[in-house]
Amino acid sequence: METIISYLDNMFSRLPKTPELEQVRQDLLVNMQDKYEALMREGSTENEAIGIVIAEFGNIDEIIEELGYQQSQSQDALPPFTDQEIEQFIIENRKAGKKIGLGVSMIILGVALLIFMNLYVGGQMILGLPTELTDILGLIPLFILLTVAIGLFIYTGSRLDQYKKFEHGFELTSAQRHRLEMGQQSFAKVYTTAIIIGVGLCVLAIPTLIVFSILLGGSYSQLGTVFLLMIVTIAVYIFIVYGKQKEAYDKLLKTDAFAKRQESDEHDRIVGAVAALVWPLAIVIFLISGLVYHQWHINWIIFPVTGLLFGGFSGMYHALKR
Amino acid sequence: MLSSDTMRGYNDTIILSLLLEWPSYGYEIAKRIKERSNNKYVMKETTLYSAFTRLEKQDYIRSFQQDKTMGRRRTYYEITAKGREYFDQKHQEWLLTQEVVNQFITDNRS
Repeated sequence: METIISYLDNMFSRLPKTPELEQVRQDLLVNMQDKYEALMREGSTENEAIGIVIAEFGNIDEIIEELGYQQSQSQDALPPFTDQEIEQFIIENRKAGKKIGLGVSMIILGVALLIFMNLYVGGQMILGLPTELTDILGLIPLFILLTVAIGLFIYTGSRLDQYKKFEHGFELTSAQRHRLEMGQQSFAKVYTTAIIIGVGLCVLAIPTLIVFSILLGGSYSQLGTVFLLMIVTIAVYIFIVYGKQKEAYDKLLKTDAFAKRQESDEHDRIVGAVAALVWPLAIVIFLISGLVYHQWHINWIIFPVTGLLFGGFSGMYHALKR
Repeated sequence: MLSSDTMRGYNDTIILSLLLEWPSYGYEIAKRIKERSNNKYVMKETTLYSAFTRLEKQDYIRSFQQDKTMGRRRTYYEITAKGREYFDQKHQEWLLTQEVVNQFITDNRS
């Protein structure tokens, strides 16, 4: 039956979308369904039944002429998505999610490593190196990880560039839409589970930090931060990987979430511009307070504080602009 | 199997003749045409549908929606008084056509 639906959709794909033609499609589909089911009852195999129904379909132009329609020009029609392209788009988004997730995880881990190294290596004479040098030793892995992460972001961005042409809208046949909706539904359960696990990890991370800093105290509080960052890394990885997959379905089906997103594209640009200013500033403050003032034990707090303030700003901005 | 070219001029009349019996819908009409012709004529889906469109435009038939088995919404067609008139006219025309064509296309080659 799927084959028959997509055959019919194909026939109508070049035609204008009017209520009249939708009724024609509906009537033809019902007739073809009737015939298909009758053939199956008479003992035809599925392939035979589909073959006969399609062979006895006729020529769509006959109806078009009768109704007085012109076949629409291909240039004003939205580009169609082939089945392979859809498959490819979902796979590509899943891969992109993993790469972006990996990149972000590397940056957070780099920060964790920096704190860790400052705790055990910084400010000490190791292998005859002056303390000024061991102080910045932790920066080396951070910058290496940062470079690799940026490389990953650029690579992922260029991979996804080939789907730019679909951003201005595209046509899905109803068979494709049906398949995608099924896929989206089964993915929704996985997504919810992933989000619960991620949030659970974040919630779990806070008591860990409290245990480390209050019960053990001293340098352990920094060790607690390292731990916290590692747990957050896992959570962030989960959010990004599954979020990106969800986004692929949303984009293809243009569900509410995506439609809303496109509306607020302008807002996102402004919030993005502020983010591009605020986050590097936070990193600079973090590095200066650590390297110059040796405040490694507490200066990491700049990140959650910036995060909170920035989150508050972007939330307020969206609320006020609406 | 008859070619659709040969049958072109008779499709509308055949459909009207079946609707004279009872109001019906797409598949049922297609099925009756196939059965009554002993599988010698199968009307294509699009031919049937464009005939419905044409006949409705000329007020020979009327369509209405009805839910039947399995909740499938079908478009039913019934013949109008004007359609019956047209059918009678076509019937007379066919008798005449038959008579004339028979004069020329016959078995006895001399």
